[in-house]
Amino acid sequence: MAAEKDTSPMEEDKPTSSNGNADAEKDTAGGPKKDRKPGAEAVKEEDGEEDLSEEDAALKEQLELLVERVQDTDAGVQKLALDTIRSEIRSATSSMTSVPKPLKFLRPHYGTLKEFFARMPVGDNKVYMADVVSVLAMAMAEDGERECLTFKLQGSRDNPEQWGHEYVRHLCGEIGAEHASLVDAGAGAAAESGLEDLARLVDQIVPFLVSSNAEPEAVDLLMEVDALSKLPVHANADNYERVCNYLKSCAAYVPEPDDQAVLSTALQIYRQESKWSLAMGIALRLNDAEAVQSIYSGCPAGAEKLQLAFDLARSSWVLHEDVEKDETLLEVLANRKQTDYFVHLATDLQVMEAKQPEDIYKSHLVDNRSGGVLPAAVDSARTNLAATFVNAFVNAGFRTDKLLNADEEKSWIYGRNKDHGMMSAAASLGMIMMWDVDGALPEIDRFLYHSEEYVKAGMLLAVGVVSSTVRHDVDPALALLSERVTEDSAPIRHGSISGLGIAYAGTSNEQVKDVLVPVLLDAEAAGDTAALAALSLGLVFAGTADEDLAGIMVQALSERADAVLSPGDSSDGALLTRLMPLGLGLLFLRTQEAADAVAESLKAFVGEKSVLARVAAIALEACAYAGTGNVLKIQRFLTICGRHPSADAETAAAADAEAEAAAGSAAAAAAASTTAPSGDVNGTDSESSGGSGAGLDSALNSALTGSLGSGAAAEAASSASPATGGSAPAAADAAAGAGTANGADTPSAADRKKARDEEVAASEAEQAIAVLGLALVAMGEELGTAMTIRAFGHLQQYGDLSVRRAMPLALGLLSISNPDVLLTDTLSKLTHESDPGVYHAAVLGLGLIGAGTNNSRIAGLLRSLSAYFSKDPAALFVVRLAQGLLHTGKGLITLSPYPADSKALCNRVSLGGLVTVLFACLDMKATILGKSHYLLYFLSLAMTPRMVTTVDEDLKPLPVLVRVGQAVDTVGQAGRPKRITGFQTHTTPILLACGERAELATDEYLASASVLEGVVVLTKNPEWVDVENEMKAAVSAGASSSSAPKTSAETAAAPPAESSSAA
Amino acid sequence: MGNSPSFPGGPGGPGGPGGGGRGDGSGEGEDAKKKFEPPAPPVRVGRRKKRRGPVATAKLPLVTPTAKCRLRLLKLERVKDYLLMEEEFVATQEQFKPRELKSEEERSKVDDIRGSPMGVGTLEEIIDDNHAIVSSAVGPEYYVYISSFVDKDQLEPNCSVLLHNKVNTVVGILADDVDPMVNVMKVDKAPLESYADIGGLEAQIQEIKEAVELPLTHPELYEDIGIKPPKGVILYGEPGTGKTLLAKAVANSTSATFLRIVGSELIQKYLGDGPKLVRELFRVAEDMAPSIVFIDEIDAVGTKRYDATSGGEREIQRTMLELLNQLDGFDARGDVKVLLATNRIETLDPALLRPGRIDRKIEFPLPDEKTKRRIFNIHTSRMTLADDVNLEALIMSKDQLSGADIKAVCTEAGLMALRERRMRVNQADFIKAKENVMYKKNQGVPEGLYL
Repeated sequence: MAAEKDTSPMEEDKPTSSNGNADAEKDTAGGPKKDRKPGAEAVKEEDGEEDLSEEDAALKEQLELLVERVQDTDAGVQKLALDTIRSEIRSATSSMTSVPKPLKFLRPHYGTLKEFFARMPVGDNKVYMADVVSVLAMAMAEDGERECLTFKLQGSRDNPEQWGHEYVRHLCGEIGAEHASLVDAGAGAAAESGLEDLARLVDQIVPFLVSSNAEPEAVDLLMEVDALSKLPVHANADNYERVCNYLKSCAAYVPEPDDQAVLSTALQIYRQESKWSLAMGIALRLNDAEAVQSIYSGCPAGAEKLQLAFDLARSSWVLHEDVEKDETLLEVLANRKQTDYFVHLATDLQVMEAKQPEDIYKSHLVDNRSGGVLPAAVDSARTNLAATFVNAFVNAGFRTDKLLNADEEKSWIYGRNKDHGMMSAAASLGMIMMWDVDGALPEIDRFLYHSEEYVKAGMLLAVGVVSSTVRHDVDPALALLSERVTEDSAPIRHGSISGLGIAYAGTSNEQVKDVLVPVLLDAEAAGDTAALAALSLGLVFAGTADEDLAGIMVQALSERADAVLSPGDSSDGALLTRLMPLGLGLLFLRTQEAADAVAESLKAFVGEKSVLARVAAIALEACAYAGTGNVLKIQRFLTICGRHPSADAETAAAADAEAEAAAGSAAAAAAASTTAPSGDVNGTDSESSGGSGAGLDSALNSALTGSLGSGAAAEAASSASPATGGSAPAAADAAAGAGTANGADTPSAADRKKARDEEVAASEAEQAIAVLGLALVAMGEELGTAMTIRAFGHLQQYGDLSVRRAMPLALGLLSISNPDVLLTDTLSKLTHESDPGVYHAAVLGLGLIGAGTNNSRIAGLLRSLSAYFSKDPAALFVVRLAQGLLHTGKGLITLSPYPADSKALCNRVSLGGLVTVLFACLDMKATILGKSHYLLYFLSLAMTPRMVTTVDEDLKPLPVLVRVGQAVDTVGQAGRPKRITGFQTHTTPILLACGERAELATDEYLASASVLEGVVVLTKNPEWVDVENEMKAAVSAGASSSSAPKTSAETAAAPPAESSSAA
Repeated sequence: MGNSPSFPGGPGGPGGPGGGGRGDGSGEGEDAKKKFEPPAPPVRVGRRKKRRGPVATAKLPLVTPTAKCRLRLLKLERVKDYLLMEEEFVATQEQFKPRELKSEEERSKVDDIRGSPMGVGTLEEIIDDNHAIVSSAVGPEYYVYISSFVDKDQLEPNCSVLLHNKVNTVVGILADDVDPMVNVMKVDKAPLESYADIGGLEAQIQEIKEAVELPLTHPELYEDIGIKPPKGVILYGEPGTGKTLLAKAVANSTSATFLRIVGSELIQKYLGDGPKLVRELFRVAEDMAPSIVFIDEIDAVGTKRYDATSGGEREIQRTMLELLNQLDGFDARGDVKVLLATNRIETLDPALLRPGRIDRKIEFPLPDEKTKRRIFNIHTSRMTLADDVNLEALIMSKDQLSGADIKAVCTEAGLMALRERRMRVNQADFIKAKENVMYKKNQGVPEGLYL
């Protein structure tokens, strides 16, 4: 019954949901479904045909007749009938709520027509008929049958667009499904011809979609049939923007190999349209050196090329030396202009005046409830150190301050600080003078030969910090630092190694490699020195996946495979076990699967049981997939975070105590195995041998012998280390075995406990890095970021202490320089936890999310925290650091590695610097609160001015009006929606906060840049006519010639062409 | 506190959020070490402020674009992946250490502290974070402590609280967040009338679907075209032409929350109660969005404004003003659609009908012959008719029969047959019934008499 269906609401909705993708879309009105009426069905049964209005009935009758005619034997009659049906269907205008009438009435005949079609002899009419049946199939066929497509393929090769948009959409959905099933079915003649047919159809549909303002659908279709390469043909000046924006948004979510293809297509379109800056953005995102080079050399000289140079400098990309010869461009490429523009910005905003730490602390605002003055700083050295850092962060890049440069002799450095404090104080000079290499070097040079080695070390570090993200043409950093890396004094070595790392981060400078590799492989060097060398190398070659260097790093790791985690006791172990693995990770930053091979070799050479190898493997994974949003990695990290190593260890201990009856022969076997340093003697073996025949009564005794034994083991390990990397872990294990063998008579429970503790410590270290890994992987796209922040809520609830300690830092990384109110609340709650590790990290996290924003909410929170922690010097120090971070660069500098309005383009160097500090902060007690606080200067890599400065083609600042507002995601929306909302109009240079976007407010100039951020080169718009001036001129002219001023003003306000003629 | 100024030296420069946030310095931190001092006023009281939606941390990120495309699919799949991972994580952790046990323990502890029985009192005033003044039904007011486990965000003056039976400490809140009046309006059981029970009115059905149902189920269609869907619809026409019937059909077929109210219900005894009810109604509608609000007989409150003399009339006008504001006021209404019905549209205030408040006016005319036939068919389809019944005669008559009249005719005819203990309804019954109905309808003037 036709009429039965015609009023059912479900049926009437069908056309709107028949798109192929519709299935994924849940009913947005997802309220509770109400019971459908039982009685209604019965009523409808009886409605009968007289329900139809007269014209409907006529139409129905006619169609029935036509269906009969179609089945006529006479080809002419058939043809005529088909023609009429065609025109009926095509002329039916429908509302969007219901099925067009002809389709409705033809519904009962669908089966008949289908049957007849099958019987029809091959010929024109059959083809003709196929078209009609195909259209009918759109509304009638069962889901999943894909009849619409089947008939269309048998039908004429006419363009399907003549049947309307709804039909085309339906067809698109079926093509996608059909293509997937054909590809699944595998190769074969049938499949291939099927694919060809589909391709032909796609070629017809795509131009129609593109021309009817449905670019996203065209892109979807091409993606579904793996034919994105056809897209550039259809892109033109009108639609390339919509097409490419859609492609770019998709790239973050399609599975891994496809995203490259998607981005390459967008790149191709941009190049085709000569949008150099946009193309460059994608090439950088693809990390494709060749594309970057070719775009750069392909771009015609002028404003656009200048803009490209600024873009490249901003993302710390280094071109080959011979690509550019022009002095100006070279200077821009090396980022040497940064300091000028930054000072220009600061002058324009009138914040040049230096600030003191007290200006930041604002102790007069601190609600001092205990009455009287705050207790005098308990630990004045630490207070001074805090002041040093605050001063450095706040005045970063301003070239002037009131603490360090208070007097000519810089007495602050050695007058108010001691030992390692002096190093950071001296290095702070570098941060204050940041980016101004020429200006800073004379200052630094005065102290390079200072008698105090810590001052010297600090100044060496300062050399590096000054040249962070800036490349000087004569490489002073390399000249000054490279010879110092081999000095005996540890601080000087550290200073110069870190300095090199900071100065050359992201440059892949081979000379730096030559200098640092020997240090890394030097077995005599202390663990922290080697770790810093690895880190610096990682930064210099960040994201290059340099195989040679990877081999060297693995070797270095394997040599130190016996390193144990000793949380909190020395900076040596902390640096080694955190930063050395990170060095390897940074080398593979965002390279994805390129890191897999290295992960395997880590297992093979360093040993799966080694703490260092485990940590390195996970750091490598986290870095390699940083910013990709890879869900599998997130899952893996979440699983790691969900473990409870200490609880597991307790159960293991209980099990051990039960099973302590074991033969002493096992111990002998262990002793025997020490003579043969074969690779398969591993930690478990020695553990089990240690465990055999244990007696609780002799625990104390064995502890003594155990310590003796481990001493021997250390010796053995150091003697073995010059040997090849592969045998080193074996030797170490063997030595450990020997240790237990020494005390074979008293095999120790204590040893087992120690092994277990080590195991716990290693797992906890893994967990901490996994938490950071979560943030690293997810930070590349908005959805992942939001969802990960959600997931952190669960971690907070269920996670072990090690997870909860790392979580605030991870939150800081996820929302860096973006003081979200909810996150601020979360972190503020965490600052009152009972565990020092958690609240230290939470305070620092507060600083990180507010970094460089001057957010007064966070400032207030930190101030009250400073009162709360006034008797806890360590916590107070962290609060001060956070305050300094909050006011970084007096609010002109951001630490975010991403541009303000999107998360597409990640600056590897900046991310590297950020991650370094976060890894160091995982064990704050040993690093930041210990002697290695100078690691904080690695933040200089992440510091970039959050400005929009506009310049003309001669690089002179050019103030213009721009609108700044919240960025709106307009991808895939109809029409030309506004890209920013709630905007204000300002004159450049201006500041840009996270999530904001700027647009030019005048038509006078054209921007060469794809996004208004950093330095933007403007060119005069050739079509622009100065309406205002002309109006004035017209008014004055009008007044003098005594014509009515009003009318002349009116003409001037008219379109420019007219007004110029009027004037 | 709350007086810490925004950063004076900071770059109050353009674009920077410099001193954006509130100077909300009254942190929770210092409490640990402070001595006695006059308590700071409560930071924030009342739940009204954070009413919107579920807790923000539990909220899922907004997925753009809203149009159906692969990008949206991919994004939604990504969100789903994350949710699955969360589920997996929580499941494993629950296995490791069930939270149920832990929370059970805590709950019993809280129950111990609360004690039983508990008194019920009204919160008069909140003094600081931990103290409040409460009054019990019998008399005196007390200055009492608020137990730490009571959710302070839910406390607001005039809410009912549970009091400890001895020391009168506040130990709980009695949730009464929705005016019971509004709960009554919610249609829990869908009406039985469906679109199939409506004879004719095809154009009206289509219009109402486009304006009310489609925006809730397929908002992306409107976005594709680039228009905002209509907010409200008014149904008007002669009495008995099916306005309420159509609204019932909408309620029957939609899965959205359907709230119905009659205009006269909005007129309340006490001053200010009417507007309050309107506010409540729309708040509930928004909480349960997507939802449809149906106000029948809107002329009860929506008549043209004039210089009213009595307080009652003024109150009715105020109720209408509130309605105006809720329909298109300052706050954005989300997925709330409004259906109004009246049979005297000419008396309504023009402000009520302006586009933006009510975007579509749907007229319900008296049925024409075709429609009449269909309506007769609907009503007679379940009646046992004698063979001699010829409905055409009734349909073709010139009388102004509305849908309701036709129904009355059919019922009346049935009653006649019943009176005579017949099992079938015959043509004579119908004729007589029609005369009766028309006689009543024309206020006692017999049919065919022209005055």
